[in-house]
Amino acid sequence: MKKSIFFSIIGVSLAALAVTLYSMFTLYSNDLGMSSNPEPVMTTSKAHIVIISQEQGSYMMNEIQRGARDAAAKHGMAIEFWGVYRSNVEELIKQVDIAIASKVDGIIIEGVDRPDFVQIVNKATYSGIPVVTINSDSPGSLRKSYVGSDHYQEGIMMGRHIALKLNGQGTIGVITNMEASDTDKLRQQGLHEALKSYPGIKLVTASKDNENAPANTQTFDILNHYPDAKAFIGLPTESGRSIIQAGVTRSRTSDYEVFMFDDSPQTMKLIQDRIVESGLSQHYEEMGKMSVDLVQRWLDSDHLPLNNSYFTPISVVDSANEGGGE
Amino acid sequence: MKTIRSKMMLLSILIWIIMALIWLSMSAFNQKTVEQYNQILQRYLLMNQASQQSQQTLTSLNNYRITPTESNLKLYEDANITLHHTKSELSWLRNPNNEMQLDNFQNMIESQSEAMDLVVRFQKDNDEDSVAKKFDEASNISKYISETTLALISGEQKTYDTFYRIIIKRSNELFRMGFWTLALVSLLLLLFSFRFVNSVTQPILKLTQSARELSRGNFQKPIEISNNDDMAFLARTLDNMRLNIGNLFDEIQSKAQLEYDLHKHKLMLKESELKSLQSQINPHFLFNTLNMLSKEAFLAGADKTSELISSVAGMLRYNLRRMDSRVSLRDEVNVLEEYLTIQKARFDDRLRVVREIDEAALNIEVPILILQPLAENVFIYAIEPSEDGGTLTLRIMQDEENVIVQVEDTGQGMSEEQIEKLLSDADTSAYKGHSTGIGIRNVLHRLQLFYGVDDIIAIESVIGEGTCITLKLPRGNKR
Repeated sequence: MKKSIFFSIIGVSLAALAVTLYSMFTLYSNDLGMSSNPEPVMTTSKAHIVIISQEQGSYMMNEIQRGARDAAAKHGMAIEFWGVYRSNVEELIKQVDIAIASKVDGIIIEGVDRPDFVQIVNKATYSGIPVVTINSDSPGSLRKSYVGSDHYQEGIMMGRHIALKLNGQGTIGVITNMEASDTDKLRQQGLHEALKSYPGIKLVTASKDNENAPANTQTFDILNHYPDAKAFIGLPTESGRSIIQAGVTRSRTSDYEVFMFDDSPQTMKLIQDRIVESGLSQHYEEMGKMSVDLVQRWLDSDHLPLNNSYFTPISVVDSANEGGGE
Repeated sequence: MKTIRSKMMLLSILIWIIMALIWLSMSAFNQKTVEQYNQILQRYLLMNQASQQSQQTLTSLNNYRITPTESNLKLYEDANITLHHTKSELSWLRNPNNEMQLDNFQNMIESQSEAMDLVVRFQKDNDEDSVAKKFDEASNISKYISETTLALISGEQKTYDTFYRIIIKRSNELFRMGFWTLALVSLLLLLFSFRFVNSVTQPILKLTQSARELSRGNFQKPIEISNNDDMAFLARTLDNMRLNIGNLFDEIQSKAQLEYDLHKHKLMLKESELKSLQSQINPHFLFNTLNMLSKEAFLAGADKTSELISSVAGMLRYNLRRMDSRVSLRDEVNVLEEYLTIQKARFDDRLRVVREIDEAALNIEVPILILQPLAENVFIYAIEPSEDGGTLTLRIMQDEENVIVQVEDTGQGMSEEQIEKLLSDADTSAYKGHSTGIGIRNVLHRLQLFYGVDDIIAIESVIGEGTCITLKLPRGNKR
């Protein structure tokens, strides 16, 4: 009796010893992991550039970031991605100011054609920081160069495409961005220019009240005024679904065709399902890459001066060559 | 020899060592954790410090701008130097995750500093416009700096997220380990205490049992303790005591036996004396009367009667002696002759007496009145009951050590039980017709006491043929 108690105590204490040693061991091994903290890294003299976008997290920006990151890695640059939401220009300008104060080696930014923006870009240039606009230009500023598609050319290309599709006849509704932008303006100019030679085609926009309304409101407005609209052109990225939805809620079979100025995944899906007629591919990734290359060139003083602008290729995407490119 | 004290000391030291080990390991762990915490805190503090100093410098610059005195300039310059110092210290915070942000941060401080220096220069040139512009710039940058500080701190939290979680997990593990260690130590102590207490109490238990045995008077069981400490010493001492007491006890017992025997002897003497006193009712008167009757009978010519009465008187005189006096065997035989003369007159032809006496053996000293009671027995049991009478044979012989006295009769004999009864202490009142009132048992005891030897009397008897009582009297060593 006594013996058995004695031995069971010995057994239990051995077990406790094992567990204690085990937990001690795990603690110590944990400790080793902890002491290898992120060690202070010594300063490297890498070039340090910033990309500031107007619409953080958008499809377009993600594509640009991808290309820029690859290019930066190639050049051994440190790259940061800043940005604002909903094209908040004040915030954008502030970020440029911060970038200047931070003495970055280069700024890549979506341009805005506004005096205060021009001023801040000029300030950066005075401070010796090269600025490259991307996707949308700020032609009045002292930016070093512009990289992106030629929006005027886009308008012309799309105009011709639509005219072909509609056989030169019909009313076309144009859905604009809620915030008027240079890009939209240029595109619309291109459209008008291209369709000038087709007298049967009439371009219409939403009435003044609804000019800056969301896409579906604009669609309603146009449908109210021009019930026979045969086609819609969506300038805002990813507005295709709203335009189509608007037709469906009016219990009209969507007998109008929709054209888009982008090739975001959503648009591509709609093209695939033959709900949207065609889109436009702008090759954003290449844009990002090229912008970084240009900054690098400026920093290396290689092949200067830079051109005023570098246009990236554009192409129409429709269900026939969906997922394709050029 | 290990003493109980050294055992206790050992136990205490063991406990102390275990506690110390636990304490050391726990505090080592804690120390490490605290160091880590300190490092984290220092990082946060440094970031905050940079932001605050940027503000402070700006404030001092503002003071200088409003009241441009030398002392204010000095204050501003000191603040600026501190800011620069902090800026270079910030490099310590660098890690792969905040590298760019930190670069920006440091550059911002530099930009602010540059802008502020320009403010001072313009102030000296009294260029109010430029001062205002540059001051605004510096103020903006200071604002950016505080924003970036927040971003840095939140980045810090993200970077060290896993680390923080590890710390939390570790504290849980530490708690678990503490629990298990406690269990382990408790069990170990239980084990050691168990052994220790056993080694102390087991011998005590044994000693207690032994002491109980001793108190019951059992001195035979030896006390054995296998321990090697104070208890063993105690046990040995107790064992010695047990042996000593046992020996003393035996001695006392034998002494008590002796005392008892002596006491008995005295009692017996008293008894015989009483008996003889009873029979001494006017012994001298009887004795004188008998002597006078003997003379009268002789004068009257009755020789035989005179002789008989003279024998009776002689016997009476002999019997009246003190019972503890010593006589020679010859005296005993002479008195027996007187007695036989009387009995001859009584039984006439029915009594035949055979004497085989070695004269040389008669000088031995014997207690008084030993032969006569034996002869009386013969008359009572053998000769009187028999119509034909019988033969009484008295033999006195000697060998190297003993004088042997035999009294034999030709009566009907006795069974074994009767012999037993005769020799046993029981039935003391059965002195049937003894002239002296002394029975064979009394004779035997007196002989035993006189010679100090037990083996003195032997009775052989065959039923229907007779009885022979043999006394073996040691010659040399009488008391």
